[in-house]
Amino acid sequence: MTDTTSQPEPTPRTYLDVLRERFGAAILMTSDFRGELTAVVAPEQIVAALTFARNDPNGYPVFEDLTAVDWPERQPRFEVVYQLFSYQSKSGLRLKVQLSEDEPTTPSITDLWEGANWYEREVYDLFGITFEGHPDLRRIMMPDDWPGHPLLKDYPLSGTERGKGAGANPPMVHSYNQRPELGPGAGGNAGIAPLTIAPAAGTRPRDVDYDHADTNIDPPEIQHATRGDL
Amino acid sequence: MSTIMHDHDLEEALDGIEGDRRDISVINLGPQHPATHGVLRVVLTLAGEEVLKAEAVVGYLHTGIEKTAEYKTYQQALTLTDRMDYLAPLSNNLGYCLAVEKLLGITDQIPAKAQTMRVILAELQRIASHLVWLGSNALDLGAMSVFLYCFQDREMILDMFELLSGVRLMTSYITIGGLLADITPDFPQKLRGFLEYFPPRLAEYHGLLDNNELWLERTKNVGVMSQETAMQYAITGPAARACGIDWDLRRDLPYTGYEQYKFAVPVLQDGDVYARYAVRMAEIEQSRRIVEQALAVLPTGPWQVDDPKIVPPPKWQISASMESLIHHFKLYTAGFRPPVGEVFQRVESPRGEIGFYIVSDGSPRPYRMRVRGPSFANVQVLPMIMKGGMLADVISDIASMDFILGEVDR
Repeated sequence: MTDTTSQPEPTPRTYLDVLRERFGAAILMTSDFRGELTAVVAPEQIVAALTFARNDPNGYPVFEDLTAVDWPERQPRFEVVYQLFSYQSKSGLRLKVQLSEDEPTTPSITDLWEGANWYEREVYDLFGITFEGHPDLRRIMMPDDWPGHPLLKDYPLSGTERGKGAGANPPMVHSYNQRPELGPGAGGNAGIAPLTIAPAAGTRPRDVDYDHADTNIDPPEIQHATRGDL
Repeated sequence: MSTIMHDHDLEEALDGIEGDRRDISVINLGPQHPATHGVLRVVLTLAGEEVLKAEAVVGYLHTGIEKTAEYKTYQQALTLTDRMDYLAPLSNNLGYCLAVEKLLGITDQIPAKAQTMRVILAELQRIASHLVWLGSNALDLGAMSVFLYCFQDREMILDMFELLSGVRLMTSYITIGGLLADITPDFPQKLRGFLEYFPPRLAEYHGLLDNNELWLERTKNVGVMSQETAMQYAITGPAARACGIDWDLRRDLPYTGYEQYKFAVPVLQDGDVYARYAVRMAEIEQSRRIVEQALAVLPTGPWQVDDPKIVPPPKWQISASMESLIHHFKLYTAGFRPPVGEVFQRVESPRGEIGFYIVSDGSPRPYRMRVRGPSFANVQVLPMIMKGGMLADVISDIASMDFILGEVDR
């Protein structure tokens, strides 16, 4: 605190400046927190920004991670987070795109990096965000006929058999062994799975509409299996 | 968990195949199969013994760890990280703790003893994890004795973990701000004993497999992954170094004091199962070197940061000082509140780069904890390296990628 006369040091030029120069107003927000660069890109420019960062000789050619964050109180509600890396500069770059609750859709980047395939499937499965142009957008972690998307903030931590999302502090409800898919490993489950869950009448599992707004669907009907079913 | 191949995929797989060979069969390998190393299901389309198409199906171990973490305080969420990659819990602890420490801005306050111990533990964990991989890989390809020897050695490492933390596997010994407890007085002696005992054993493993005709037949030119594929699929760790990607976070982006130690990063070009074997074997030796150097400079002194808002005060203080009692109570009931922000911390786990992306909204619980595990990428790439191989090679491929399904599914 003794040296009060010196000028504040000019902030060193980062890749965020490069992005700002190239994309201008499409870079909605930037931050440099603990040495990590983040830029929020407008939805219509996100693929262009990712392509630019990948192809730029001083850019970030390695796809590292793709995930999402749900902010129910914010507008727009969803953030899809792309984590890029460069072996050359030994640093990472985080690009984000914000998506509204009404239309949680963004173009797939599987054309840029084939490896993004499963990451996009995971975000689709756990958040209900869809990726246009994805070759094979299916659930990956949850069973095919699972209702809702577990990583949404209004999806309860436990007690999902009661249906209605209970908000941030779900009541402690006893959770049954309610794996609806007896699946290929059914032999091992025969002794411990007295419940099966029937999909709503008239729908095959594939026909269920997984639009994220359906988090508060009615609970699936629980039937006690008879001995013959197992 | 979602399944299965569609008809048009089948048509595509059969494209260009003539006559009798069009008589294909579809085999479900797993999810309950000893060679899938957990609960992985691989749907294989075979023409005779040749793999036309493979599809990996994951999700059987999905336990919602990322979701659960949002309901735990930062200290509580630490214990979840042990349970993802259950063969390298300490590497996961390290990654998580470094991420939270970065968020708190206390990275440079971690005492030297804790830093050095973290390196020792992470490298011992790497040796232990590679020993499990080596043993199970050899077992899958029919070499029973290697498996037994490896588990014997691994048990010695787990004994040391037990000595420190009281637990063999899910130790949670690396905590936010340092270590859970001071090291026990007999730990250095025990570690020295292991470092003396281990090199001849490693030489023995090399002797068992390196020039073994059966081993070479099953591993050379099998499951080849090109460098291009590895880049496209974000493959990291030994699997990437086996196909020529010269990258190791410990050397290139050092954390927790790795820059102080001398070690080589083994890189091979072939990209086959044998190259992945050779890279990991060389890594075991390098890890032993690092542990040796770290043990030689292991300092004395504190093992946690001196900040009662982050680490609990010592037990004796709690009964002597009211302030310590309050700190203890606040820490275990309310937790601490990091600033608003988000960090991504990468560390080199035995399987590759594990990244913790933590978003804080200023509350005592992580708003979002995302784990970018190396195993996820390693499983995703499996169909690419299996295609065109034989059914028996599928087992080699799975074993050589060394993934942990608990980390894939989380």
